[in-house]
Order: sequence, then C-alpha cells, then structure tokens
Amino acid sequence: MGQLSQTLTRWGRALFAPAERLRLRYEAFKALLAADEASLLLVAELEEIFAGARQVDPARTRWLCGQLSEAVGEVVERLLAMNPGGYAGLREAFARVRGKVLASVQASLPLCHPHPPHSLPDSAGHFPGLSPSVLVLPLAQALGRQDLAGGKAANLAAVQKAGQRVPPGLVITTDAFRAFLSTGKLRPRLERLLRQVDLSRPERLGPLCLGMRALVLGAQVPEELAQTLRAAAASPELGGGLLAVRSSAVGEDGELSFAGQYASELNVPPDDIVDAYRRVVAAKYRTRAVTYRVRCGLPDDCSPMAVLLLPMVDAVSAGVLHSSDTLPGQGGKCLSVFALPGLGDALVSGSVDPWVARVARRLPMQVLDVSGGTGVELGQSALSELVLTGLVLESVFGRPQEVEWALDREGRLFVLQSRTYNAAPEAQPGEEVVRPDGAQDSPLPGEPGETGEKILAEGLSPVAPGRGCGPVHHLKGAADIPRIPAGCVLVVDSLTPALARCVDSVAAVAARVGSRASHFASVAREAGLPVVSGLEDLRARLPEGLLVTVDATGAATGAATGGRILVGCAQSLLEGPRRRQGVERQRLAERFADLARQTCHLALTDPEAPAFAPAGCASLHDLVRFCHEKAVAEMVGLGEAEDSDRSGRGLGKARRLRSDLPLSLYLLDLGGGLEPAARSDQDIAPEGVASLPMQALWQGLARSGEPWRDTGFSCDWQEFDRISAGIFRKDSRLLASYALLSADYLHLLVRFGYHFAVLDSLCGPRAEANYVAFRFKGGGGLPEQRLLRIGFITQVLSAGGFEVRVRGDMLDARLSRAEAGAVQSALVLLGRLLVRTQRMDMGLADEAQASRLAEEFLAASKDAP
Amino acid sequence: MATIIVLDDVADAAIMIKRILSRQGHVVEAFTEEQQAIDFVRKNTVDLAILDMKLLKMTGVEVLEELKKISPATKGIMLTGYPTLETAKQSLELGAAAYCVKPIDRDELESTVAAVLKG
Repeated sequence: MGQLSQTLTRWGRALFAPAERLRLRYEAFKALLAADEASLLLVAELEEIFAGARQVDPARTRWLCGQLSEAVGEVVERLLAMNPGGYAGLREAFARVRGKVLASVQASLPLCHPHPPHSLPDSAGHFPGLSPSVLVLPLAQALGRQDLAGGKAANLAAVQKAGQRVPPGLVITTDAFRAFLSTGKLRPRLERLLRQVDLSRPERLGPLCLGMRALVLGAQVPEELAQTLRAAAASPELGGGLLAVRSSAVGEDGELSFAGQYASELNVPPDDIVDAYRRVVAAKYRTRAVTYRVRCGLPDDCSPMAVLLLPMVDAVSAGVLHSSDTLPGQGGKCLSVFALPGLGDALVSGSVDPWVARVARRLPMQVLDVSGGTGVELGQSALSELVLTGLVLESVFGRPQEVEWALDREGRLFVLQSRTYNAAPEAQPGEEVVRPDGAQDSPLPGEPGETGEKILAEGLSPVAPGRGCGPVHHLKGAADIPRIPAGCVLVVDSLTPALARCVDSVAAVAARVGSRASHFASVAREAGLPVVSGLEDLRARLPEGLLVTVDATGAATGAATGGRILVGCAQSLLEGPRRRQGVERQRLAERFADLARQTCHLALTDPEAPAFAPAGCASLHDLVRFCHEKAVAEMVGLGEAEDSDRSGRGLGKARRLRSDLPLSLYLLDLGGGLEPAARSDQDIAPEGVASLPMQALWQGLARSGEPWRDTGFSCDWQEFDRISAGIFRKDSRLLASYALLSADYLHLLVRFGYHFAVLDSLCGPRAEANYVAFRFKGGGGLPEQRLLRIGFITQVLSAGGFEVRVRGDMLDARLSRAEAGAVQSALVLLGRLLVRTQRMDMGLADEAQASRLAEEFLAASKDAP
Repeated sequence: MATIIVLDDVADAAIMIKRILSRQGHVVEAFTEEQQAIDFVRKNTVDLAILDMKLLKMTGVEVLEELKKISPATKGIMLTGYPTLETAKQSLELGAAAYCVKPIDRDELESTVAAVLKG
C-alpha cells in the first residue's frame, strides 16, 4: 500500500498543517498501516510454510520469524505513538510473545553451530569456550563421530570395525568445513541466498544455488586448512596415488540418505586436493542437494560437510549390493548384487543396466537368478564374500543395507560405503519371522485390493514401491525439470539424480532404464514416490496426457507381476500419495505447533470480548490485529476510554452512514469526501457522499440488487449473534465498519461476522495513479470452507481484472493504473462481492460448488445496474 | 520327511521354528539346553540340526562339532543374529550345510531347509 502512504501524506498536509500533534498522529497511523501490511504478508507466508503448502529453506523460516517480530514491534510502537501513555501492558505483551517466538524458533529450527547454547560468536565469528578444532581424522576414529566426520565416514568406520575391508581413509572434518565457511564472511553470504530458497519458485532456485556454489568456489581456503589438506592428500597412509574425494555430510547416509545429492570426485591427483575439496563442498549447494535438504526440513548449518579422502581402488568391477531384497517375479527374499566393469560409477547415476545376480541370503552361496549387462565376471568366491558382507553389515547396522563395493585386480573386495536400504521387503501381516530376540511381529495394515483396470505394461522392475496416478508427461530434457507439471506420471529415459527436485511434485516415475541401485531410487524410496523401469517402448506405450496408474508395489501384492502400469485412476490406487501427504502434514504440524501458535494463530477475533486486550494476545498475529483495530479507532476518535481529551484527539467527527441496510458504517471525511450541504449532518445519507470511490462501492453494496436479505442479515438476530459471537452489532459504534474518504480516495475497514476486509482505493483523473487494493481474511466457517470462499473470491476478482494472490486464508487483490471508469466498475464488483460473501463460507461444501457460484455471480454482473 | 532338532537359548524362537517345520511334515524337537540336544542325537537318528550360535553354555559351532562326532550324517544349519566373518568361516569349515542370519522369515527358512535336505 505504498501509494496509500503517498496519498495520506497529501491529505495529511492539507488537513493538519495547523495542528502538528494531529499531523504526527496521522504519520504514525500511516506507518502503522505499512507495518501492518508487512506483518500480515509475513504471517501469511509462515502459515503456508507451517501447513506444508510451501517449502522453504529453514534459514528463511527463521528469518521470516525475525522479520515478523520486527514488523510487529513497529506496529506496537506506532500505536503507542498515536496515543502516548495509552495501552498499558502492550509493550510487555509484545516482549512476552516475542520471547516465546524466539524460544520456539530455537527449538524447532535449531542453529547447529557446535557451541554451548546462548553464547554468541565474537566479531571474528569464533565461539568462546570452544575446544580447539580438529581438521583431519583417521577413518578409524570416525566411528560414532557423525558430528565430526559426517555420516558416510562414520558408517565406513563401522564397516571397518566389523572386519570388512575398506580402503585406508582420512576425514577432513566438519570443523574444517566450518573454518572454511567462517572465512571471508562466507556463512552470512550463503545465509542471504539460502533464505530466498523457496521450492514453490523453482525458476529462482537454479540461479540461487549457482550463486551459492560460486561463493564457495570463489572463496579462499584458509592457509592452515590448505596445508592440512595437502599434507593429508600426500600422506603415506593414502599411498600417494590418485584419490577419491567423497562428500560425508552430517545427516548423509543416516535416517536420510542424500543418495547422489552431493558430489564425489574420482581420480583426483594429490596436488589438486584444495580445488577438489572446494568443489565437493560447493556441491552441497547443488540445486538437487538443496532441494532434498529443504524437503527434509534440515537447516543448512545442521548438515555440515566433512570430506572423505580414500585412495582409488584399481577396480576390475564394482557396484552395489542390497542385503535384503524381493526376488523379482517369485516373491521371497534374496540378496541382490549389481555390478559393472571398472569403477561402477555409471551404476549409481542410473544411466546403464548392470549385471544383476540374485542370491540366497545364506552361505554357502547359491545363485537364484542372473540377468542384465555383460563384461562382468564375478567368481564364486567374490559372490560368496559379497553375500557375507551384506549379511554382516545388515546385522551391524540393524537394518537392510545398500552397500557400494569394488573388487580389485588381486580379487580383494573393498566396501566403499554402506547405508540403509529403504526398499527392503517388510514382513507381511501374520507372517512368521524368527528374530534374534524371539520377539513376535505385530500385524501390518493390509494393502488395498486389486482393481481390474486395463494393464498397459507389466513385469516392470519395481524401483521404488508405491502406487501413483496422474496424466503422463514426457520429460524433454534436463532443462524441462523445473517445468514438470505437479501430479503427473513422469516418463523418462533414465533415472538421473537431477530428478530428485521433483520427487514431491510428481505422482510416479516410469523409466526406460535405471535400476534400484541408482541414487534416484534411494531418494524416491525415502519420499515414498513410486518408480518403475525397464520398458524399451515406454514413450510409445504411454502417450502424453493419458491418465495412468503406476503400480510399483510388485511382490507386496503377492502377485508375480513386478511393477505395472494401468489405464485410468482407480480409487484404491490413490491412497498411497494421499497417505504420503498426510504423514508429511502431520510431521510439519507437530514440528511447528508451538511456533505457529505464537506467530500465526489468530485468537483475538472478538473486539468486544474481555480478552481483546494486550494481556489476551497469545501470538504476533493477535498483536497486529489488536493494534490495527485500536489504530483505526484512534483515527476516528474512539481511542481508549480513559482519555479525557477525547474531542481534541480525534481526527474529526466520524458520521454514521444512514441507510436501510443492516450495516453500521461510519465515515470520516479527509476533505471533499462529503457534499458541502451534508457536512454538518450527524447522519449522512448516501446522497451526501461525494467521494467517487465510495459512491462506486455503495453502488455495489446497496444498489446492485445483490440481495442482503437472503444472506443471513435479515435472519434471526439472536441466532446471528450467537454464531458471530457478538462481533457484529447493528448499533455498536466500536464494532462498526469505517471508511476514510476524500473526493477521490477511500480507505475502508469492513467487518462482517468473523471476517474482515480492508479496501484502499484512489480513483481520480490520472489513470497511472489509480488503484484498488483489497484484502480479505478470516471467517467463521471450517478452514476448508474459508478456503473455498477464498477460491470463490479469487475466481470472481481474477475475472474482474484484479491480480490476486492467496496465502493461507488471506487474499490480496490489486488493480493498478486503470481509468477512473474501470476503477469504479471494480469497486461496484467489490461492493457486491462483500454482500455476497458475508457468511458464505458456512454454506460451501466443495470446490465445484464454489466455482459454480462464482460463475453465476459473474454472469449476474453483466445484468447488474 | 526328516527328523530335525532345533537348539536355541530363546525358547520362543525354537518353538516358532518347530511350528513352521512341523507343518511341512517334519518331525521336529526343540531344545534350549545344549546337553539335552546332544543326548537326543546320541539316542535317535537325526537328519538335520538347526543351531543358534549364541547358546547358554557352548557356542553353536562347538555343538556342531560334538554332533558331527556322534552322527557324521547329521546336517547342520547355523542360525545367528550376529554374523561375523569368523563364525561363518568356522561353521562352513566344520561342515555346516548352511549359515543363515536372523531375522529369517518362513519362506527363507523353508527353502533353506529344503535345499540342505536335498543336497
């Protein structure tokens, strides 16, 4: 409402030049409105984040909470400036709520600097009392030190401890990472970009991440760290040859896999170590890694990046094993070995089909099935060793494992990495399982039944389990990824890790090639996204736009069909994604329950209730509501009752608008808003209004034929009072709506029942200065019904030429730079809309109904006078 | 059909294995005490012994060694919740027919027993 400020300044000068005190009050009111606007925008965005409708970097959530506290502080101070000495307890209420918000931010979005709580960094960014940092650590000492060595290194140390062969390794620690980021103000520069990360604006994500990587790549590695890196790379322990430089972030390969999201560099000459280190660290800010981290709700500084240095294994073959897998086509458990000749890095990138052996989960080794690629020769003894490795590691980590391995020229098997395998078959209901502790299994919920739909393809490889339904979308290329439509069944050639960006938005993925061992498969399994692969003529069989269901449950249904694709979208098949969303919402709701209550929740809905006081404010939103209400009251001379000099403080006398409508509207003339003849009247007749925008609005409110009688205002008033908790009273001046007017200006605060709307408009001869700004918030219906009403308003106003933005249950509509005639039409429409929507939310059942009503309303507009 | 003994220090585990294999028509005896199991093999012809690795007084490998002395034709399946390279190697060297890991489900157990009895 920047234009509002300018307008008010104009009127302010004209009105108050003789009275400095009043002018200052008016200035304070203007500033309050601006801060109120800023606060509500912040509240709206936070509401969306807490509801899971928008996924932003935790740095942004933190920052938004800070910004909101500041903006609300401004609102509070401006109200106090309007009435110095008034509103006892308001500052204290603000301090109390702000304190709680700070504590909740700390609890739900922890800062992960390794420092004791409550200590602040000194000017150089160092924390007092911190133990001297450890820059490099032998792999064996990474055992149990995820905080220092990252997940991958800590896991590999556990593998080594279990007696498996791993290459000798050195870990460049998270302390080293923090030392790097604390130089050259890298951390605050990254934060500035991180807090702009919003997954609902994918077009900005790429450039932001590019910016962050550029910051890291352009940063100077501190000399002490550079020396440590060079010494480590050249150390005899690593053999002096080429190195593998692998990411090992905190959180990686733990509960969350981050599979393939970060970078590893192979065949790095020891001399190149400093640059390679910087590149691996920079890859923390790859688009897909940032997306993955944000989806998991993990703050950037809680996943610091350690880096693992390993000598290259001179591999004849390499690959992945899954310790516990489903035997394709037959059901039953097996251990799967995926192998490629050489280094095997093409396997996890999902670009080739590997040689696959399914073997029994016991020794002596027994091959159950072999398929796929050529050029790999794994002997009996190597396979035997792989089986035992899988079984041992599954036991060590207590969960089925996905193990990266390499076999060197001397036939030695090395484990390079081990992490939880998420697609391991789960025990079925009633199934008998012999466990180490003899514990019994509890039954699992049953799977939805079969559907009898037409099958387009079957026998596919179920890469990630689940079912999803949507229209087919063919991926044209990597550049197409940000534009993938939400809810589609994505058809791709291969399972590249770059697809991780869309795991939450698409319903399912069908790939021509790509195995369960690919990185993307891990990410998809974690997210519960169904993925199938293994169909050569996929694109031909699945035409763009066709509604299909991907069923990647495979053996889980007990059928020996593998993954399949069916025509259409059966009800039972939709349960998967819905359940997925429900779980995610639940998780967010729990995590942010306190923060949401203290920032966004609006409890002060009744201005006449005793709780409508500073002490009754439980959230920042309550404070904003309280202050806005009181500020408007101050403006129209209805400030706090204890003020003795009432007549001198008001801006002039607010006059009641006289009409037959059940609406209490008070008018405050800023100059030229009323007819000269009416200016002395106590009650103003509608004919006495000279303000152009007010006339137009009144046209819509009272003279468009929009029926007030049918919308509840003529109903049983006692009943209405009960429903609306007394907010609306026919004669209560305090609870009425107010309009500030001039000849070409209108600022209106209107209240109907539980909701309120603010309208601000300039309607004069200069089209480029004209605008209508409309905000609508709240309601007495259920949250779904409020959103349906917002949907109705959005549809109507969009058709009326407004730009509409909706955040949470708040709607902002704006029409700018229009001729006076167009502004007047828009105001007539808004007037009618206000009448129509009074209590509409209580009667709305679904989107179709809201949309139909909007169409009818728009059709009636053409006939309206 | 075969005569099978199960030895596990956790009675529930032994009984569950007995229940699964009995349904297939095998004659199954479950034990939690090593000596009772060994005595049983001394007095009866036993085709297969399913042995937990971690027992009350001995290890499963030690029991297997004893059983092989008494009845070389009796086959052994080692079942452990805590697999290691050493115990796996040791078991196979001592003539265990299979080395399996808990948790093990019915299908896996049945197919392992079938494979061992056949081979």
